[in-house]
Amino acid sequence: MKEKGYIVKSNYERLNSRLNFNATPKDWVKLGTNLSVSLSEQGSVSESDGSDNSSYSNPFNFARYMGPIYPVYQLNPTTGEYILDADGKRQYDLGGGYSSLGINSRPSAANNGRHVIAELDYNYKKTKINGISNRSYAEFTIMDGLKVSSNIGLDIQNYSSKKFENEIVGDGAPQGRYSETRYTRTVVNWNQLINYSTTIADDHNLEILLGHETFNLNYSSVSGMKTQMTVKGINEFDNFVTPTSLGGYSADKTTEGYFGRLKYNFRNRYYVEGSYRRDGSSVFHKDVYWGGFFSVGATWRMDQEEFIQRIEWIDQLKVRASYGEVGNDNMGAGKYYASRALYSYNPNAGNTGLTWSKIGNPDLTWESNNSYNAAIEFTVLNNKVRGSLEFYKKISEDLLYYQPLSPSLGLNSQPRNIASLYNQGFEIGLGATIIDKDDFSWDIDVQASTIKNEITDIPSPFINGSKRWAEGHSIYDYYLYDFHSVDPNTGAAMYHVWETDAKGNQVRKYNADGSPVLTTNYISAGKGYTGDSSIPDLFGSISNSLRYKDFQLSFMFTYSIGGKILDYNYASLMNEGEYGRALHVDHKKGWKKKGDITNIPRLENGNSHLAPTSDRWLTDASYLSLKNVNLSYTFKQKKIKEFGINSLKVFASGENLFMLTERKGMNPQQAFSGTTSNVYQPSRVVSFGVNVSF
Amino acid sequence: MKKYFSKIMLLILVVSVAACSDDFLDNKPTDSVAPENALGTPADMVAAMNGVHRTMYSQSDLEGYNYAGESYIMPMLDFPAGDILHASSGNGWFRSNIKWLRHTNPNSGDLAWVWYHYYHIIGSVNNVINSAIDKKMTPSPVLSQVLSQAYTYRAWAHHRLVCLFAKNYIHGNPSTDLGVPIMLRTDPAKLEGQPRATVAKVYEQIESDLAKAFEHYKTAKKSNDKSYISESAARGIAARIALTKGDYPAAATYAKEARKNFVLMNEAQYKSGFNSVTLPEVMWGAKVVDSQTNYYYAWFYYIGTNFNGSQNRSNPKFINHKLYAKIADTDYRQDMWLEKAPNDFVGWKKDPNYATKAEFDAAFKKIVADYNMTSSFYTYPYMGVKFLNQDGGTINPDDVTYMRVSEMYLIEAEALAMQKTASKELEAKTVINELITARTRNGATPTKITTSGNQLVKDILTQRRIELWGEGHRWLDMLRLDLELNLEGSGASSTLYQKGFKQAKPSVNVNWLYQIPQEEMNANTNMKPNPTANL
Repeated sequence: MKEKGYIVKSNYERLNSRLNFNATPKDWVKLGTNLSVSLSEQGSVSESDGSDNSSYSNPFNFARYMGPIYPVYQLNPTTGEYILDADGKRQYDLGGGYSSLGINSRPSAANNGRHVIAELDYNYKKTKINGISNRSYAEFTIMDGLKVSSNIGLDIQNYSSKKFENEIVGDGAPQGRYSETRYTRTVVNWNQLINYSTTIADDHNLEILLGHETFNLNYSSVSGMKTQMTVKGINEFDNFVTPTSLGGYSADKTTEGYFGRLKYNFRNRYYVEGSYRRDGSSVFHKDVYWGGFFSVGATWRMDQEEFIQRIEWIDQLKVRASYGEVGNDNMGAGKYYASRALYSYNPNAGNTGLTWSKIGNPDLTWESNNSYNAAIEFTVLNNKVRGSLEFYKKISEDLLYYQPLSPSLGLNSQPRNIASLYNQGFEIGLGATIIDKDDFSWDIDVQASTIKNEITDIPSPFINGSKRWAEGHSIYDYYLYDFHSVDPNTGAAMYHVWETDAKGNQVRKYNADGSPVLTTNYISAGKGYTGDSSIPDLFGSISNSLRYKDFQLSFMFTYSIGGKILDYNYASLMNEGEYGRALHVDHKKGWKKKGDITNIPRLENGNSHLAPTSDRWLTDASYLSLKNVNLSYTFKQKKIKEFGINSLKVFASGENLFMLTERKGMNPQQAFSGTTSNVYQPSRVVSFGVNVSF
Repeated sequence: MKKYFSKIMLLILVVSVAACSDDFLDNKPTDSVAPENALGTPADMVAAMNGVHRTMYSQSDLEGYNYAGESYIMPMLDFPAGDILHASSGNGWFRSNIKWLRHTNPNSGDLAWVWYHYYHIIGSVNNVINSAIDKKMTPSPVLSQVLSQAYTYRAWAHHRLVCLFAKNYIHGNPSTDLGVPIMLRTDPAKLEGQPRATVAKVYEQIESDLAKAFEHYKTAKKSNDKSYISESAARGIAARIALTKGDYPAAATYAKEARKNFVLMNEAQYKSGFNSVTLPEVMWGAKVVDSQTNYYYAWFYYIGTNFNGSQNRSNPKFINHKLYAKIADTDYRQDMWLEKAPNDFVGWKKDPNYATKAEFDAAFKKIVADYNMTSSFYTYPYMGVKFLNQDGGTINPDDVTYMRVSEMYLIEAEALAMQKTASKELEAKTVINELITARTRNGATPTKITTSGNQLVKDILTQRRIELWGEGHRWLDMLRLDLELNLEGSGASSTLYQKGFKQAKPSVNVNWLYQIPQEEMNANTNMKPNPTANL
């Protein structure tokens, strides 16, 4: 597989191979192993994954906010002609100014002295990941119905990243620098199972499972950097002179679990099952390694009952209900030692040094995710209509999260079992075969879901970015400055002042005459819950699949209704007027002179009160998106048979073809928390192809 | 039964390998160590103190922050204060600071950084101090070396915080004005933010810590490492603190004691670029080695002349023209700024100093050659050439200076003159003229200070501005001296500086106060904010 991205050098290549082996050396022994190897290689744009939202090397950030008047190449300021080099090639205008050519430097907001195209052009980055994955099992039938088995899974990932930053422009200037990161990640998963199943008196089906499993992850990494290149084009350490950093470490995460499960059904009609497991995790302190989790469930296949079978139009009918607990010990990527207080290495020139880095928490323990589900599934009218309706409630008890601390304590966060909250909602799926003729058929499937989120317990409420986590609120409730209006006389942004009421809640402040209390100083206005949330009221998908003779057409829409997005990208383009920075076209509708009635404040360079993060950037997050379309034609077998071809199909397909949103260019699907950043947008992919089988 | 035997053996085997040994879940990190390794013994605590020394100048490992300690904070305390000025918006660094939009905005990361960084230092030395107390460690020269510095750091960091985040001691009401929380211990079992103590209480704590430090210095093991706080540097810190409190006799005494083991630099040393802690005047500073470089977070990236970063290339820092005019022609410090440097931003036609393009270009070339720059650097009238890289035109690291002995001469002279008696004024003149003499060109007659009363104080303060230009003092000086900011005639561009162009004096203007960071307000229910800035 090979994919070339729409950003220079963001290509991706992958190669996979797989080997399978199964054996039955004795009638009571089964053995098997499966080995797969994958090699992948990726080009440069790692900075656009959202982790480096505002860096110069993020092409989205760079291009989106720079005034579009600045040229990519050096231009003669008088004639507008390209200034060519000795070889007659265009030269990048790096933005630092060329006084000898009369070209001024760009202002700082227009990426002074940086040039993302030149940097992508001159820099080099290659990431390689080689993975080996093995799954083996052995199963022994001890006696009829009693099986003992063991499964082992082994995954090894070798990563290497080589990065050269050029000597001409950017962080590698003026000498050029090279860095390399390598790691090996090894995961061993091993379980041992005893499984007993039997049928008693023809009606009672029973299955018992006892098991034990271990998980062992080892991560070992080394990375370094050297500066001062000797010759161009060799991207290896030997080509560079001065080491500026070298570091490496290993980390382990282990978990262990014991579990048992009992399944029973009566005449394949009434099903019950229950399970219990105890899990231990190395993330936590010795005294609280272990957590216990259980689950129960029941299903009633009503269609097996005589009184249902008598109803002609019902084909299948099933109701089920379950409750299950699952433990979570994940404090985030690489956070394997969250419970420990730590000092990190920090040498002071030639002296060994240690710096206080983590406050730890010996009480930190398992988060428990407790799900209630109840559902009904049916197929009716000769299998023409099928559907399911499910209610779910997922309670996260002892939620794992980093509690922000007062920075005056010396460290500003602590991992804690911070809160309890739940998500609940309905999921509805309906499918129907609308037309089913020999020449023509049409199937339609509709999915719809709702979600409600509420924090039920949080000992220390806190502000988390644009949200505030507090009891009775959702973790998606916006907590912001309240932009109210624009003063027609001055064009200043006016903010509604928040005050604290008797119950300690932030409420909007009003004058005695009922008019809002406003200020032009957003900082003094304070923040409060605006009443908006990033979660939609309803979301899901609609799929259609049509067939006419030998043509097939299928397409899927996804949709979301309700919820707000805090559009940071738009806010950045609606800045107060920074020299050199791009502006959104909406500024045309802004305040220009006394008496203008508008919701867009005046432009004034350096005035921070005109466009800070506030509810002004909350935008309806509803969207309708055409996710994919596939049109194909299958040739009739008799026509192709003489060519020795079994089947032949030609197709055209498209992904991400369009999206209707409140604002052009906004991607509401970017984050569930409703914020936007400078990331690689999903590509629109159109492909044509032929499927042949001989 | 027999036919099952082997299978049952297998069953037993599978089950018996199942249970893991107890330590299967007991993993230890390798990129960090337990607090015990940093605090267990006095020798361990030497490493913990080195960790603090490193955070003073190096890029932070604290999550969410990349700033490099004093390497960032010193420029932050200079740029909005009017003596070291920006020629352009450069590539953006400190662009909002000079407009006064950072320290006045509680959401600003710069502000949060200053607060968090100083409290992290305080927390770190608290761990050291409390470990010695809790473990009842036996006194020893090594323990005293550790504790003398720990107490000094605690005093120093609280002092920096109270100066920036609270009203000034001299011009406010210290017994009622809210200062900053006094942090003496971070108890993991009770992680609750503390309320702000009054300014007076914070000063009391600072003085009590200094007293403990001096007690330990008597028996402390000595070190030649300038990143360690020596007894002299601790006296220097005490002198700074006494000066901000208006305790002039103490300030003069501390400063005099602090400077006794150091000599003033000669002209060649003064012109060597302030890039090395081996310079004889450096009392406290950090050596930065290649493998611990700060890249584009280095001190010289912000204030240097020929550090090869786009900040420096595109935004030469120049001296306030009015201050430059006060430098005597006999004073070689005049050469720290190039009055007639070509204005590269406008070109030769608009530069009144040059009649022809050839002269303009020649002057540019000479500067590039003289100061080890490259032709991609901009030059600008009155640009500073005080801070020069050891390897000009590269980004190789240079040392960071926190305290030089000339500052002690200046504190002593000012503190003596402020006492306004004839004999103290005479002493003050002797001290300041010793410094002036050391700064006089070879063969020239020193332009000594002969004034008295308020004029004498003013003249000493002018010397202070010239001598300590760019070294992170001006903002704190303006606070304690209650000076207005007015950049009329300074050469600064009012479009660039905007709200940072003119500001009334601190005693009548809340805009000088650093806001309590929103992060602290959010997490600390005991915290009270500063009055909102009026910008």
